[in-house]
Amino acid sequence: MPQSRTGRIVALVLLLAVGMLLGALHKRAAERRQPFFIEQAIRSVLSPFQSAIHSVARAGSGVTKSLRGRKRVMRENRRLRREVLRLSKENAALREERAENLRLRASLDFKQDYPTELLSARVISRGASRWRHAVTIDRGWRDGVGHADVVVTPRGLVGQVFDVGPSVSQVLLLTDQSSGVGALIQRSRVFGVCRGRHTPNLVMDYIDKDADIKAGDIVVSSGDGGVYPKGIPVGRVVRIEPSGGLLKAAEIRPSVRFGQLEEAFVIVPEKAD
Amino acid sequence: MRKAAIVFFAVTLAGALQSQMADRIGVFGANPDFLIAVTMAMALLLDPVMGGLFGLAAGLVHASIVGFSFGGFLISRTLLGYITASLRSWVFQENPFVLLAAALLGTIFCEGVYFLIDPSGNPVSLISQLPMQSVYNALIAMACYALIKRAMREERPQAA
Repeated sequence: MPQSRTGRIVALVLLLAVGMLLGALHKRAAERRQPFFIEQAIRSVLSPFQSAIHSVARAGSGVTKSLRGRKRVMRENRRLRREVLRLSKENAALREERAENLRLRASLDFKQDYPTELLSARVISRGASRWRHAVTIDRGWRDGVGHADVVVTPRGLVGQVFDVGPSVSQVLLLTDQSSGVGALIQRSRVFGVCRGRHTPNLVMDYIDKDADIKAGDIVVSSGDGGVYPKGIPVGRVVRIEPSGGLLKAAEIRPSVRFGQLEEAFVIVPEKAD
Repeated sequence: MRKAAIVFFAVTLAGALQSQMADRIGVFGANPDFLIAVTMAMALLLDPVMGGLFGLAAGLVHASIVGFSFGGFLISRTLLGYITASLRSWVFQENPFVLLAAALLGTIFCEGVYFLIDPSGNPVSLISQLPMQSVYNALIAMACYALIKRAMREERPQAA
Protein backbone atom coordinates (compact mmCIF):
# COMPACT_ATOMS: atom_id res chain seq x y z
CA MET A 1 0.00 0.00 0.00
CA PRO A 2 1.24 3.52 -0.75
CA GLN A 3 2.98 4.99 2.26
CA SER A 4 3.60 8.50 0.96
CA ARG A 5 1.07 11.23 1.50
CA THR A 6 0.67 11.76 -2.24
CA GLY A 7 0.27 8.07 -2.83
CA ARG A 8 -2.43 7.85 -0.20
CA ILE A 9 -4.29 10.82 -1.66
CA VAL A 10 -4.09 9.30 -5.14
CA ALA A 11 -5.42 6.05 -3.72
CA LEU A 12 -8.28 7.91 -2.04
CA VAL A 13 -9.14 9.72 -5.25
CA LEU A 14 -9.13 6.38 -7.07
CA LEU A 15 -11.41 4.85 -4.44
CA LEU A 16 -13.78 7.78 -4.71
CA ALA A 17 -13.68 7.51 -8.47
CA VAL A 18 -14.56 3.83 -8.22
CA GLY A 19 -17.39 4.78 -5.89
CA MET A 20 -18.73 7.36 -8.28
CA LEU A 21 -18.36 4.98 -11.20
CA LEU A 22 -20.27 2.26 -9.39
CA GLY A 23 -22.90 4.81 -8.40
CA ALA A 24 -23.28 5.88 -11.99
CA LEU A 25 -23.47 2.29 -13.20
CA HIS A 26 -26.13 1.52 -10.66
CA LYS A 27 -28.14 4.55 -11.68
CA ARG A 28 -27.89 3.59 -15.32
CA ALA A 29 -28.97 0.03 -14.56
CA ALA A 30 -31.88 1.32 -12.50
CA GLU A 31 -32.99 3.64 -15.28
CA ARG A 32 -32.91 0.75 -17.72
CA ARG A 33 -34.71 -1.44 -15.19
CA GLN A 34 -31.86 -3.91 -15.34
CA PRO A 35 -30.30 -5.73 -12.38
CA PHE A 36 -27.02 -4.33 -11.19
CA PHE A 37 -24.61 -7.26 -11.16
CA ILE A 38 -22.56 -6.13 -8.15
CA GLU A 39 -25.71 -5.60 -6.13
CA GLN A 40 -26.94 -9.08 -7.06
CA ALA A 41 -23.61 -10.65 -6.16
CA ILE A 42 -23.43 -8.96 -2.79
CA ARG A 43 -27.00 -9.93 -2.01
CA SER A 44 -26.19 -13.53 -2.85
CA VAL A 45 -23.21 -13.50 -0.51
CA LEU A 46 -25.22 -11.85 2.25
CA SER A 47 -28.22 -14.11 1.88
CA PRO A 48 -27.06 -17.07 4.06
CA PHE A 49 -25.85 -14.68 6.78
CA GLN A 50 -29.15 -12.86 6.67
CA SER A 51 -31.06 -16.13 6.97
CA ALA A 52 -28.96 -17.20 9.94
CA ILE A 53 -29.41 -13.88 11.70
CA HIS A 54 -33.11 -13.85 10.87
CA SER A 55 -33.49 -17.26 12.52
CA VAL A 56 -31.57 -16.17 15.58
CA ALA A 57 -33.54 -12.92 15.78
CA ARG A 58 -36.83 -14.79 15.45
CA ALA A 59 -35.84 -17.19 18.20
CA GLY A 60 -34.71 -14.26 20.33
CA SER A 61 -37.95 -12.45 19.61
CA GLY A 62 -39.90 -15.54 20.71
CA VAL A 63 -37.95 -15.70 23.95
CA THR A 64 -38.39 -11.95 24.49
CA LYS A 65 -42.11 -12.22 23.79
CA SER A 66 -42.45 -15.09 26.20
CA LEU A 67 -40.44 -13.19 28.84
CA ARG A 68 -42.57 -10.10 28.29
CA GLY A 69 -45.69 -12.27 28.56
CA ARG A 70 -44.40 -13.75 31.79
CA LYS A 71 -43.55 -10.31 33.11
CA ARG A 72 -47.01 -9.09 32.16
CA VAL A 73 -48.64 -12.04 33.90
CA MET A 74 -46.50 -11.49 37.00
CA ARG A 75 -47.33 -7.79 36.99
CA GLU A 76 -51.02 -8.61 36.63
CA ASN A 77 -50.69 -11.16 39.41
CA ARG A 78 -49.13 -8.59 41.73
CA ARG A 79 -51.82 -6.08 40.86
CA LEU A 80 -54.57 -8.64 41.52
CA ARG A 81 -53.00 -9.65 44.83
CA ARG A 82 -52.97 -6.01 45.89
CA GLU A 83 -56.58 -5.70 44.75
CA VAL A 84 -57.61 -8.83 46.70
CA LEU A 85 -55.88 -7.47 49.79
CA ARG A 86 -57.58 -4.11 49.40
CA LEU A 87 -60.98 -5.71 48.85
CA SER A 88 -60.47 -8.06 51.79
CA LYS A 89 -59.73 -5.09 54.02
CA GLU A 90 -62.71 -3.24 52.64
CA ASN A 91 -64.91 -6.30 53.13
CA ALA A 92 -63.74 -6.71 56.71
CA ALA A 93 -64.41 -3.03 57.39
CA LEU A 94 -67.90 -3.31 55.91
CA ARG A 95 -68.67 -6.43 57.97
CA GLU A 96 -67.45 -4.59 61.02
CA GLU A 97 -69.65 -1.62 60.25
CA ARG A 98 -72.65 -3.88 59.63
CA ALA A 99 -72.13 -5.67 62.94
CA GLU A 100 -71.74 -2.37 64.72
CA ASN A 101 -74.86 -1.08 63.04
CA LEU A 102 -76.85 -4.09 64.26
CA ARG A 103 -75.50 -3.71 67.78
CA LEU A 104 -76.24 -0.02 67.89
CA ARG A 105 -79.73 -0.57 66.52
CA ALA A 106 -80.43 -3.11 69.28
CA SER A 107 -78.97 -0.72 71.82
CA LEU A 108 -81.17 2.08 70.59
CA ASP A 109 -84.29 -0.06 70.89
CA PHE A 110 -83.20 -1.10 74.38
CA LYS A 111 -82.55 2.48 75.40
CA GLN A 112 -85.95 3.60 74.17
CA ASP A 113 -87.68 0.76 76.02
CA TYR A 114 -85.80 1.31 79.27
CA PRO A 115 -87.63 3.39 81.86
CA THR A 116 -84.62 5.14 83.43
CA GLU A 117 -81.98 7.31 81.85
CA LEU A 118 -79.22 5.41 80.15
CA LEU A 119 -75.85 6.78 79.18
CA SER A 120 -74.30 5.01 76.25
CA ALA A 121 -70.65 4.09 76.59
CA ARG A 122 -68.04 2.41 74.51
CA VAL A 123 -65.67 -0.18 75.92
CA ILE A 124 -62.19 1.13 75.27
CA SER A 125 -60.13 -1.37 77.19
CA ARG A 126 -60.57 -4.78 78.71
CA GLY A 127 -58.58 -7.25 80.69
CA ALA A 128 -55.98 -4.74 81.78
CA SER A 129 -55.43 -6.75 84.96
CA ARG A 130 -55.40 -10.48 85.34
CA TRP A 131 -56.48 -10.01 88.94
CA ARG A 132 -59.69 -8.25 88.22
CA HIS A 133 -62.42 -8.86 85.66
CA ALA A 134 -63.06 -5.32 84.56
CA VAL A 135 -63.43 -3.15 81.50
CA THR A 136 -62.86 0.53 80.87
CA ILE A 137 -65.60 2.65 79.34
CA ASP A 138 -65.25 6.05 77.70
CA ARG A 139 -67.52 7.84 80.16
CA GLY A 140 -66.57 9.49 83.42
CA TRP A 141 -67.86 11.87 86.03
CA ARG A 142 -67.99 14.68 83.50
CA ASP A 143 -70.66 12.66 81.72
CA GLY A 144 -72.56 12.02 84.92
CA VAL A 145 -71.20 8.61 85.78
CA GLY A 146 -70.89 7.95 89.47
CA HIS A 147 -69.36 5.33 91.70
CA ALA A 148 -71.39 2.08 91.88
CA ASP A 149 -73.52 2.97 88.87
CA VAL A 150 -74.90 -0.12 87.16
CA VAL A 151 -73.82 -0.99 83.64
CA VAL A 152 -76.05 -2.98 81.32
CA THR A 153 -76.44 -3.99 77.71
CA PRO A 154 -79.54 -5.02 75.79
CA ARG A 155 -78.60 -8.62 76.61
CA GLY A 156 -78.39 -8.08 80.34
CA LEU A 157 -76.38 -7.04 83.34
CA VAL A 158 -72.71 -6.19 82.90
CA GLY A 159 -71.56 -5.02 86.28
CA GLN A 160 -70.92 -1.96 88.37
CA VAL A 161 -68.70 1.09 88.13
CA PHE A 162 -65.97 0.93 90.75
CA ASP A 163 -63.60 3.66 89.65
CA VAL A 164 -64.62 6.94 88.02
CA GLY A 165 -62.31 9.31 86.22
CA PRO A 166 -63.15 12.56 84.44
CA SER A 167 -63.74 10.88 81.11
CA VAL A 168 -63.32 7.15 81.68
CA SER A 169 -64.58 4.67 84.22
CA GLN A 170 -63.72 1.16 85.33
CA VAL A 171 -66.56 -1.33 85.40
CA LEU A 172 -66.31 -4.43 87.54
CA LEU A 173 -67.82 -7.31 85.63
CA LEU A 174 -70.21 -9.82 87.12
CA THR A 175 -67.62 -12.51 86.58
CA ASP A 176 -65.21 -10.87 89.01
CA GLN A 177 -64.88 -12.69 92.28
CA SER A 178 -65.90 -9.61 94.26
CA SER A 179 -69.11 -9.09 92.27
CA GLY A 180 -72.44 -10.18 93.64
CA VAL A 181 -76.02 -9.52 92.66
CA GLY A 182 -79.29 -10.54 94.21
CA ALA A 183 -81.05 -12.71 91.64
CA LEU A 184 -84.14 -14.78 91.10
CA ILE A 185 -85.24 -17.51 88.78
CA GLN A 186 -87.68 -15.85 86.44
CA ARG A 187 -89.95 -18.90 86.09
CA SER A 188 -90.20 -20.07 89.70
CA ARG A 189 -89.25 -16.80 91.51
CA VAL A 190 -86.59 -18.59 93.56
CA PHE A 191 -84.12 -16.20 95.17
CA GLY A 192 -80.40 -16.48 95.39
CA VAL A 193 -77.17 -14.52 94.94
CA CYS A 194 -75.12 -14.58 91.73
CA ARG A 195 -71.40 -14.23 92.21
CA GLY A 196 -68.39 -14.24 90.00
CA ARG A 197 -65.60 -16.70 90.49
CA HIS A 198 -63.08 -15.62 87.87
CA THR A 199 -64.44 -18.10 85.39
CA PRO A 200 -66.65 -17.37 82.38
CA ASN A 201 -69.70 -18.62 84.28
CA LEU A 202 -71.28 -17.34 87.50
CA VAL A 203 -72.50 -19.21 90.48
CA MET A 204 -75.92 -18.66 92.01
CA ASP A 205 -75.93 -19.81 95.61
CA TYR A 206 -78.00 -19.50 98.74
CA ILE A 207 -80.74 -21.38 96.91
CA ASP A 208 -83.06 -23.39 99.05
CA LYS A 209 -82.35 -27.10 98.75
CA ASP A 210 -85.91 -27.87 97.61
CA ALA A 211 -86.31 -24.84 95.33
CA ASP A 212 -87.73 -25.36 91.85
CA ILE A 213 -84.81 -24.70 89.61
CA LYS A 214 -83.58 -26.46 86.51
CA ALA A 215 -81.15 -26.05 83.70
CA GLY A 216 -82.28 -23.49 81.16
CA ASP A 217 -84.08 -21.28 83.66
CA ILE A 218 -83.56 -17.57 83.14
CA VAL A 219 -82.03 -15.66 86.01
CA VAL A 220 -82.78 -11.95 86.49
CA SER A 221 -81.73 -9.41 89.06
CA SER A 222 -83.99 -9.36 92.10
CA GLY A 223 -83.50 -5.70 93.00
CA ASP A 224 -82.60 -6.66 96.57
CA GLY A 225 -80.03 -4.42 98.18
CA GLY A 226 -81.01 -1.44 96.07
CA VAL A 227 -77.93 -1.52 93.90
CA TYR A 228 -79.10 -3.35 90.80
CA PRO A 229 -82.54 -2.62 89.39
CA LYS A 230 -84.98 -5.50 89.40
CA GLY A 231 -85.61 -7.65 86.32
CA ILE A 232 -82.39 -7.22 84.40
CA PRO A 233 -81.32 -10.51 82.78
CA VAL A 234 -78.29 -12.01 84.49
CA GLY A 235 -77.99 -15.35 82.76
CA ARG A 236 -79.33 -18.81 82.31
CA VAL A 237 -78.97 -21.88 84.56
CA VAL A 238 -76.49 -24.33 83.08
CA ARG A 239 -76.51 -26.95 85.79
CA ILE A 240 -77.38 -27.48 89.41
CA GLU A 241 -74.42 -28.04 91.69
CA PRO A 242 -74.99 -30.71 94.34
CA SER A 243 -74.82 -29.58 97.90
CA GLY A 244 -74.87 -31.52 101.12
CA GLY A 245 -76.52 -28.90 103.35
CA LEU A 246 -79.76 -26.99 103.33
CA LEU A 247 -78.81 -24.92 100.35
CA LYS A 248 -77.76 -25.62 96.82
CA ALA A 249 -76.06 -23.70 94.07
CA ALA A 250 -76.40 -23.40 90.31
CA GLU A 251 -73.95 -22.59 87.58
CA ILE A 252 -75.14 -19.66 85.51
CA ARG A 253 -74.02 -18.71 82.03
CA PRO A 254 -74.12 -14.89 81.86
CA SER A 255 -76.47 -13.26 79.36
CA VAL A 256 -73.77 -10.81 78.40
CA ARG A 257 -70.86 -12.08 76.38
CA PHE A 258 -68.15 -10.29 78.26
CA GLY A 259 -65.48 -11.27 75.80
CA GLN A 260 -67.34 -9.49 73.01
CA LEU A 261 -68.48 -6.47 74.93
CA GLU A 262 -68.08 -3.29 72.87
CA GLU A 263 -70.89 -0.99 73.88
CA ALA A 264 -72.80 -0.70 77.12
CA PHE A 265 -75.12 1.66 78.99
CA VAL A 266 -74.61 3.21 82.38
CA ILE A 267 -77.80 3.55 84.34
CA VAL A 268 -77.62 7.11 85.56
CA PRO A 269 -79.54 7.49 88.83
CA GLU A 270 -82.27 10.10 88.81
CA LYS A 271 -81.09 13.20 90.63
CA ALA A 272 -83.00 14.16 93.75
CA ASP A 273 -84.71 17.55 93.37
CA MET B 1 -5.06 -14.42 4.77
CA ARG B 2 -6.39 -14.36 8.30
CA LYS B 3 -6.75 -10.59 8.13
CA ALA B 4 -8.60 -10.80 4.81
CA ALA B 5 -10.97 -13.41 6.23
CA ILE B 6 -11.67 -11.23 9.25
CA VAL B 7 -12.31 -8.22 7.00
CA PHE B 8 -14.66 -10.23 4.78
CA PHE B 9 -16.48 -11.73 7.75
CA ALA B 10 -16.78 -8.35 9.47
CA VAL B 11 -18.31 -6.56 6.52
CA THR B 12 -20.62 -9.45 5.65
CA LEU B 13 -21.83 -9.92 9.20
CA ALA B 14 -22.32 -6.17 9.60
CA GLY B 15 -24.35 -6.14 6.38
CA ALA B 16 -26.49 -9.04 7.51
CA LEU B 17 -27.03 -7.44 10.91
CA GLN B 18 -27.87 -4.14 9.26
CA SER B 19 -30.52 -5.76 7.09
CA GLN B 20 -32.02 -7.95 9.78
CA MET B 21 -31.52 -6.28 13.12
CA ALA B 22 -30.99 -2.53 12.83
CA ASP B 23 -34.65 -1.60 12.66
CA ARG B 24 -35.56 -3.88 15.58
CA ILE B 25 -33.22 -2.46 18.13
CA GLY B 26 -34.02 1.24 17.97
CA VAL B 27 -33.47 3.34 21.06
CA PHE B 28 -35.26 6.70 21.42
CA GLY B 29 -36.13 6.59 17.72
CA ALA B 30 -32.52 6.04 16.61
CA ASN B 31 -31.33 2.86 14.98
CA PRO B 32 -27.73 1.73 14.85
CA ASP B 33 -25.74 1.55 11.64
CA PHE B 34 -23.65 -1.57 11.95
CA LEU B 35 -21.76 -0.88 8.74
CA ILE B 36 -20.67 2.57 9.89
CA ALA B 37 -19.67 1.16 13.26
CA VAL B 38 -17.68 -1.68 11.74
CA THR B 39 -16.07 0.67 9.23
CA MET B 40 -14.87 2.94 12.03
CA ALA B 41 -13.67 0.04 14.15
CA MET B 42 -11.89 -1.68 11.29
CA ALA B 43 -10.38 1.53 9.92
CA LEU B 44 -8.75 2.24 13.26
CA LEU B 45 -6.78 -0.98 12.79
CA LEU B 46 -5.87 -0.42 9.12
CA ASP B 47 -3.84 2.06 7.14
CA PRO B 48 -5.78 4.89 5.41
CA VAL B 49 -5.94 3.30 1.98
CA MET B 50 -7.10 -0.03 3.38
CA GLY B 51 -9.52 1.86 5.60
CA GLY B 52 -10.89 3.63 2.55
CA LEU B 53 -11.15 0.32 0.71
CA PHE B 54 -13.00 -1.22 3.62
CA GLY B 55 -15.30 1.81 3.67
CA LEU B 56 -15.95 1.36 -0.03
CA ALA B 57 -16.84 -2.30 0.55
CA ALA B 58 -19.08 -1.39 3.47
CA GLY B 59 -20.78 1.27 1.37
CA LEU B 60 -21.28 -1.23 -1.41
CA VAL B 61 -22.84 -3.72 0.96
CA HIS B 62 -25.09 -1.06 2.48
CA ALA B 63 -26.15 0.26 -0.91
CA SER B 64 -26.86 -3.27 -2.11
CA ILE B 65 -29.06 -3.90 0.88
CA VAL B 66 -31.12 -0.75 0.46
CA GLY B 67 -30.94 -0.69 -3.33
CA PHE B 68 -30.59 3.05 -3.87
CA SER B 69 -28.13 5.93 -3.72
CA PHE B 70 -25.03 3.89 -4.44
CA GLY B 71 -22.96 7.01 -4.92
CA GLY B 72 -23.92 8.46 -1.54
CA PHE B 73 -23.18 5.27 0.37
CA LEU B 74 -19.93 4.50 -1.46
CA ILE B 75 -18.39 7.95 -1.18
CA SER B 76 -19.45 8.68 2.39
CA ARG B 77 -18.26 5.30 3.69
CA THR B 78 -15.02 5.46 1.69
CA LEU B 79 -14.23 8.86 3.16
CA LEU B 80 -15.19 7.64 6.61
CA GLY B 81 -12.86 4.67 6.35
CA TYR B 82 -10.01 6.71 4.97
CA ILE B 83 -10.25 9.57 7.46
CA THR B 84 -10.81 7.30 10.45
CA ALA B 85 -7.75 5.24 9.49
CA SER B 86 -5.78 8.47 9.08
CA LEU B 87 -6.62 9.35 12.68
CA ARG B 88 -4.30 6.60 13.76
CA SER B 89 -1.31 8.50 12.47
CA TRP B 90 -2.66 11.95 13.42
CA VAL B 91 -4.29 11.92 16.79
CA PHE B 92 -5.48 8.47 17.67
CA GLN B 93 -4.24 6.92 20.83
CA GLU B 94 -5.64 3.72 22.14
CA ASN B 95 -7.69 5.41 24.75
CA PRO B 96 -11.39 4.68 25.26
CA PHE B 97 -12.30 8.37 25.32
CA VAL B 98 -10.42 9.19 22.12
CA LEU B 99 -11.94 6.13 20.49
CA LEU B 100 -15.41 7.15 21.67
CA ALA B 101 -14.96 10.72 20.42
CA ALA B 102 -13.70 9.48 17.06
CA ALA B 103 -16.62 7.10 16.74
CA LEU B 104 -19.12 9.81 17.69
CA LEU B 105 -17.73 12.27 15.18
CA GLY B 106 -17.40 9.55 12.53
CA THR B 107 -21.14 8.97 12.36
CA ILE B 108 -21.88 12.68 12.14
CA PHE B 109 -19.29 13.14 9.41
CA CYS B 110 -20.47 10.12 7.43
CA GLU B 111 -24.16 11.01 7.56
CA GLY B 112 -23.32 14.64 6.76
CA VAL B 113 -21.38 13.65 3.65
CA TYR B 114 -24.15 11.30 2.61
CA PHE B 115 -26.72 14.08 3.02
CA LEU B 116 -24.63 16.43 0.88
CA ILE B 117 -24.46 13.85 -1.90
CA ASP B 118 -28.07 12.77 -1.66
CA PRO B 119 -30.11 15.51 0.05
CA SER B 120 -33.43 13.79 -0.63
CA GLY B 121 -33.80 12.68 3.00
CA ASN B 122 -35.57 14.63 5.72
CA PRO B 123 -32.94 16.89 7.38
CA VAL B 124 -35.06 17.40 10.53
CA SER B 125 -35.29 13.66 11.06
CA LEU B 126 -31.57 13.28 10.37
CA ILE B 127 -30.59 16.04 12.81
CA SER B 128 -32.96 14.83 15.55
CA GLN B 129 -31.78 11.23 15.36
CA LEU B 130 -28.11 11.85 14.68
CA PRO B 131 -26.94 12.41 18.28
CA MET B 132 -28.50 9.20 19.57
CA GLN B 133 -27.41 7.28 16.52
CA SER B 134 -23.86 8.56 16.98
CA VAL B 135 -23.78 7.33 20.56
CA TYR B 136 -25.29 4.01 19.52
CA ASN B 137 -22.77 3.57 16.71
CA ALA B 138 -19.91 4.66 18.91
CA LEU B 139 -20.72 2.02 21.50
CA ILE B 140 -21.00 -0.67 18.83
CA ALA B 141 -17.80 0.57 17.22
CA MET B 142 -15.93 0.31 20.51
CA ALA B 143 -17.14 -3.24 21.03
CA CYS B 144 -16.28 -4.14 17.44
CA TYR B 145 -12.85 -2.55 17.79
CA ALA B 146 -12.06 -4.71 20.80
CA LEU B 147 -13.34 -7.86 19.10
CA ILE B 148 -11.59 -7.24 15.77
CA LYS B 149 -8.35 -6.27 17.45
CA ARG B 150 -8.43 -9.45 19.45
CA ALA B 151 -9.22 -11.48 16.37
CA MET B 152 -6.44 -9.87 14.38
CA ARG B 153 -3.81 -10.37 17.04
CA GLU B 154 -1.28 -12.76 15.59
CA GLU B 155 -0.14 -15.59 17.77
CA ARG B 156 3.35 -15.06 19.11
CA PRO B 157 5.88 -17.82 18.49
CA GLN B 158 6.47 -19.79 21.64
CA ALA B 159 9.83 -19.37 23.32
CA ALA B 160 12.21 -22.27 22.89
